[in-house]
Amino acid sequence: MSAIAARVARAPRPDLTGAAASWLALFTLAVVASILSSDFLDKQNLLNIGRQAAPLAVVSLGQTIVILCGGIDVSVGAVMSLTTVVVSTEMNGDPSMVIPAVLLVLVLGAAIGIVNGFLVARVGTDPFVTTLAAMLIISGAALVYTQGSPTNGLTPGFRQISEGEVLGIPASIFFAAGAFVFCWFILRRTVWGRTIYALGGNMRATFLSGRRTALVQASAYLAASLFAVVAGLLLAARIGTGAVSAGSGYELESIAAALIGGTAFGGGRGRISGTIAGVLILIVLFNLVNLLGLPSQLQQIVRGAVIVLGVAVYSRRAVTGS
Amino acid sequence: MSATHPSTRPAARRVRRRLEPKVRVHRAVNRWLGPLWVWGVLIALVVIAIYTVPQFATLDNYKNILKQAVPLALVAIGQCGVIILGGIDLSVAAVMSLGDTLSMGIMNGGSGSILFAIVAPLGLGLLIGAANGAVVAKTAAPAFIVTLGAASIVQGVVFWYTHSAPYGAPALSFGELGFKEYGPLPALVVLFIPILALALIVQNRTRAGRHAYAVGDDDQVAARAGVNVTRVKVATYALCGFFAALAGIAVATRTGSGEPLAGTGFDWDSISAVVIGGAILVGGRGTIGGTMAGVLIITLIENAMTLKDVSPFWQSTVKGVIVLIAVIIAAMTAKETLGRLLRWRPMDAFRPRVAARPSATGEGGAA
Repeated sequence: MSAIAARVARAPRPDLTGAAASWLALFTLAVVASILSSDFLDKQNLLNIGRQAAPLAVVSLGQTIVILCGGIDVSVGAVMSLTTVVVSTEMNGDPSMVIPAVLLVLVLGAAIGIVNGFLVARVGTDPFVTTLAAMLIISGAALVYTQGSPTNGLTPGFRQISEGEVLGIPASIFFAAGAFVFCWFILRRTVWGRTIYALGGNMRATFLSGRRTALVQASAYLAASLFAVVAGLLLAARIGTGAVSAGSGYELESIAAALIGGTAFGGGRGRISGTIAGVLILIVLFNLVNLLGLPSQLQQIVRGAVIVLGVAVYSRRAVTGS
Repeated sequence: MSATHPSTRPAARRVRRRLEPKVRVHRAVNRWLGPLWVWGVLIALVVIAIYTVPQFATLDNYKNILKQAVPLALVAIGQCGVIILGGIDLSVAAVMSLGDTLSMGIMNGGSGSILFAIVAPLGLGLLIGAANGAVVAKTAAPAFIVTLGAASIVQGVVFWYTHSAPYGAPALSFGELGFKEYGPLPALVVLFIPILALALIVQNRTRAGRHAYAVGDDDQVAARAGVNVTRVKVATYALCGFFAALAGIAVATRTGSGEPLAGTGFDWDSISAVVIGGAILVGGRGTIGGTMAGVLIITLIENAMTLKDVSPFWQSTVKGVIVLIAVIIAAMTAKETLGRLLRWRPMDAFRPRVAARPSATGEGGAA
């Protein structure tokens, strides 16, 4: 009885709490960081944080869409790795091949997303295991494709999308901002976006309201894959090489960013502005560990602790139970 | 709660007595062995390998496969328990590396501290698992994030302890264990059998096993039925950490020094084995018997690919395809989905559908 009363009382409150709390945490963190290290507020360091955050922000936006509709995509890291190796191999130093190479990886990413989406939405497989299998297959394919060695075919022009500067700000930040605006628009201003939230809230009710649940659910996985490809392109431009392990870790960090940003695991609640706060919290913490000059093993320990603590403190339960 | 796992013992007895003998045998087989089709697939794979892979059908190779399967089997038993709960543990690989390097580091070639070298990693694995379980039970954080974070922490500790290089050495008698044979079987396999028997008994014949299924099916219902959900979760994750550390020690018997990345890949492999064995990640379904079939399938494929000189780069892809097939079959064996697939028309591909949990009764829950 009291549980129902609590739920009714909670319902009309605007869904700002999670995201706002994350921005507050980010602000506090930035203040602490600037006290701990005098280099933190240096302009070059801040731009560096932006450059590092851009790929993670883009992949986390796609991840947020999937989590909002009640799923999960752990194949995004592998998609990013595949993107870096394919784009640098196909480009092979030839500026005229930049656009075909980018189109090719977009098509590959779309194909992966459609297969994931079809299996989860239509066949009814478990999203975690399905995308896990996709991850194993994609990273195996990337290994076979490159025979394990890194590829260096990126043209200097292509690298400008991360290294180039517009008005003194790295170009990749503009790409991330564009992805954010696009994502905000499709989630908040289209029927598709409303349906994504509805799916995560209550799939059966969404179905009974006459929405095409399977199609929308499948398209969420397509979106996650395409965002991962764009993130992979930004990552390739930043690190300047294609490597089969380039994207490993991004699956965990993107999910952590979404959850720290207040998106409920299980779907239905969350804002992409919170996801951006989550991304910045993670990157600022990693940056702080770097600035403090801790040994690399300790960095890894801190990374893990940050993710567990952040997610444990900021996770929110989904609107409806299972 | 599904009909196969009644919550109370007297009721279970009564129900069993009333069942047809055929149904009773069927259920017992399913509980102890897991889905029979998985064993069918294993036998089919063995037959295919005998005819297509040279050097496969030798006694030494069969022994080798069993010996290679032991560490994965140990990890997979723990993982199976956690997945039955509806959780997942991605820290097992790091805990394995910890078990391997810590036991080697403590022994360091001397035989005086073998007992401590076994007990200390096991205790530590138990603690790490319990910590995972406590965080998962007490916060809204999803299990795979918690355990993946824990993996990063533990692996960092291992790198710090070993200075990122091979570390320590086994005691002489301990190192021989990995290559010795008791009678016709490798020593590791002989030592593994009682552990497996114990795990099967806990799964099928104890209250703790029933409670794990109850919590995995629906933890709120289990809590209202009087199950201490937090305790079940902490204990299951703790056991998973214990088994991972034990697997690390098993690996240590076969190598000359502690390897800081000894566990790499065992996280995904153990999950694959459990899923191939018929478990579903939402919980409440899965058996240790089926998991053992999954372990053997994975080990057999690795063994056959190595014997055929297939590039190791392909292994990940092949494993992924197998997991994908297993998960599709798992989705299809949920009755509702199977019916839908049989009626499937191409134009229907993206028509809406509502997922109901396979174990739900009547109306089916909101997904």
